[in-house]
Amino acid sequence: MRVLLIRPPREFNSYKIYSESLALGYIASVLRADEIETDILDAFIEDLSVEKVVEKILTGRYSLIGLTIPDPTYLLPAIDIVKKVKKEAPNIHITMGGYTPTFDYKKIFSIVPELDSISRFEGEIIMLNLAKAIEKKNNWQEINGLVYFNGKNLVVNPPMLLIENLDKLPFPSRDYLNYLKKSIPEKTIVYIQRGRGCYGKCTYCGVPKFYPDTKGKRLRFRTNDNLVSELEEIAIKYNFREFFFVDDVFIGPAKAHKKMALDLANKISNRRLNIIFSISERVDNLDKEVICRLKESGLVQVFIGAESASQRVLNRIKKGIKIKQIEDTIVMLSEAGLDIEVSFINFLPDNTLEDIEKNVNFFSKFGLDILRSLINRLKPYPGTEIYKILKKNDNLIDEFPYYKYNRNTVDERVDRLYNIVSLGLSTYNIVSYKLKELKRLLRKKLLESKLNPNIYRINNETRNIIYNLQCKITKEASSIFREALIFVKNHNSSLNDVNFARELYNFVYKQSKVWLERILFLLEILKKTGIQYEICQNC
Amino acid sequence: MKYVKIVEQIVKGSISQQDLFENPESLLSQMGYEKEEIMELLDILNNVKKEASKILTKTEIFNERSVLYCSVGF
Repeated sequence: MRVLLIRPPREFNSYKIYSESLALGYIASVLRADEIETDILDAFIEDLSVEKVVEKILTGRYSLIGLTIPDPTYLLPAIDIVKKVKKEAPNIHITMGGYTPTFDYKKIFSIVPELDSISRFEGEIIMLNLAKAIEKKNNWQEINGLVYFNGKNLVVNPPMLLIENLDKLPFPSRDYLNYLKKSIPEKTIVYIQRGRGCYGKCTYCGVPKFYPDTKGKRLRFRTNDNLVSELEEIAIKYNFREFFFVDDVFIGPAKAHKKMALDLANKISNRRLNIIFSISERVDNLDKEVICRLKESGLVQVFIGAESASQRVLNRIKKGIKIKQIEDTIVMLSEAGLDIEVSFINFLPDNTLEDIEKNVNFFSKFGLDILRSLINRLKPYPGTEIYKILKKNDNLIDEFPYYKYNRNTVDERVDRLYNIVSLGLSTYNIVSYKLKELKRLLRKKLLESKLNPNIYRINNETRNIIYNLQCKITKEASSIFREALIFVKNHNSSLNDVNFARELYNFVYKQSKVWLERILFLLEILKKTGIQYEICQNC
Repeated sequence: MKYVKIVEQIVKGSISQQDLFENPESLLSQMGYEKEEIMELLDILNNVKKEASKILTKTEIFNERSVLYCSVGF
């Protein structure tokens, strides 16, 4: 009995940063702790084709295959793998798990009925039970958390209870870290998890639904000692010092959570790990004292999902925050000298032109990197509240495994605006990716300068230089977006939209080339030089 | 510090992107760079120009809200 856990190749990639699949790492470590022989094959990292993956599965060594599908871009290659393997080796049990199969299992089984099962929600215990059942040739059909097709109907078993004490999980297996270190260390970020779950009610997001109301708590954290031990192990064993916390809620809403976060910062500092890390958090949980302490321990970047600068929209999508909180948080994070990644969904099914105008004014005001947000249109995911509403209102286009909404329900001019800017401003996306790469390199240089203070030369202007550049690009992009907005307002007919979009595209293409040259030049120069980080005066 | 000097001047607008990319040699010389340094910087500029065009034509344009990415589940 041997298990093969696979991350399939992706249908397409945008900005390729390499990180191991934590999902597979956790499952592998749980199986191995129970002495079940387990391999991991990461076709995404290794850039393997579907055929190569199938070849590996068909070596005759494996009885159970687990495919992780963290988002829909992995699904079609995974389905291809299942179909090809099942033709050659129908007795190998193949299961799929992850966000997409958890909520879109009916559709998946309708397309690939050969699939043996889908493992819904948290997968570790389900996979352990499944592997044991297959090894002992027991009945696996009773295992909680599984869905399967019994030849006539889909059988949906009750969900598995959430793992209440995350410290009981072994540290995730890191099978690919040495590979990444050897082949592409500069593009590698180590993903790590402080906790699981989210208590939010945002209508567009599936994360809270991924942690259903079984007996387990939705929001759970590992203890700080457990987490810091893992950070230390990775820093010492693999010499990777750049981490990305995948938690949707890193700190948490309660006073006790804040106390825990402060303690975590102290523990990281006390162990002198010399790491840098990025987190995601709701703006209403970000507190100056915690942020400053976390920064002292290595925090360099915070991701916030603002989604809108219109209070009407924030209320409608049940974001549970005020515009003022977003503004205050951005100011606080900027003053703390942290990188801010902010996300807006500029096109929602009932956004008005006025809502969008408020977003664009907000972008200009803060000079953040919002190039991708400008043309961000909601993609409704199965399992979310907004998906159900759109489906009920017959406003959903099914292009499995992708879904989109058909039309804006309040103002058709918003759809025209989207069509114009999604073509006209599309090359700014590439500028945004490269800008992110530049900022990431700056963060790495900061770490290097911390570790080797005598080697790196001082240039405390570097960070400001890069942020001035970002500000200029944002201002230009916002102003071009505004031109499109005015065009749509002034033209009742869509007759000239295509020509206008082409004109915009040509102009933005030229500008993108200019910005890209500038960014690439800075990247090259920064690779050759050292920096000294400007210490935050407010912390 | 030779690299830092030029970066600062570009971003602060003391020299324009156009000047740097269209007439780099005399510009760099006016800025006080030595011949060897100029050759090195010219090399970087040429590579960057090629790379920018390549990226723009090759990169796949993909825009997706990524909040639903969930690495926790299996």
